[in-house]
Amino acid sequence: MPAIADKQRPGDEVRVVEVDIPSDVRLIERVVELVRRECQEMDYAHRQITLNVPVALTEALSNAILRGNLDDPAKHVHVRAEVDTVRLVVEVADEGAGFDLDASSIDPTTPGNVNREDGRGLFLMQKLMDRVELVEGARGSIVRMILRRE
Amino acid sequence: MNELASVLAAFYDATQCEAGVWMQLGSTDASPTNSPVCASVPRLRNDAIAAANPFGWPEHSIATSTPSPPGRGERHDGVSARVRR
Repeated sequence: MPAIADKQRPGDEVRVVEVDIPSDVRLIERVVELVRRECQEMDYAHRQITLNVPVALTEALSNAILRGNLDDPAKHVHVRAEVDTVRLVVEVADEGAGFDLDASSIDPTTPGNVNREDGRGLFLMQKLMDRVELVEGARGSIVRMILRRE
Repeated sequence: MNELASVLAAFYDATQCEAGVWMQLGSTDASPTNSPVCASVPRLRNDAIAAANPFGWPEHSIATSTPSPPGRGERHDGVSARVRR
């Protein structure tokens, strides 16, 4: 597979989506739809539009709202997505204390974890996206996900 | 009203939050960094905007009553202009 960091062709345009929401899980679907729509505009594969992007972004948003911001409506989640013909880069920033991505990433299919209710979100994100990174932000943590267009 | 403007208006109606969608020439570097592009959480409301960008966002990301002129290789193509109420 080519490197994820493939550069665009000169002159290629990036569609940028940026939105800031309070910590309210009812808003997740709307934000996901905005990003999904831009991927559709850029002719991403049907599977990516209907599965990878919405599921991974939903998980990232719910993690940010429920775990990062502890469901505190006074805290906000910021989403920035850059979509071009090569890849989607979406960042979800919360105001939480952060977490250890490696320590939080478990395989829920193993016998020891199969009954656990936590950890599935990150597992899904890592399975559905090409790369998942955790970045320390100015006010919390940022989960950055990258998906190459198929 | 074009389709994107309708989408953004519907988003606002449903969430009471403002979303921006625009075109940018060239992507930002997605390599790990300690100064990410969305490290802060602005409130896209007039009173917060008047606070002179306290979160240090790039100018383009702050909603104004009229779209900001394109910067950093960006352009507002009329379709992607931010919708404000």
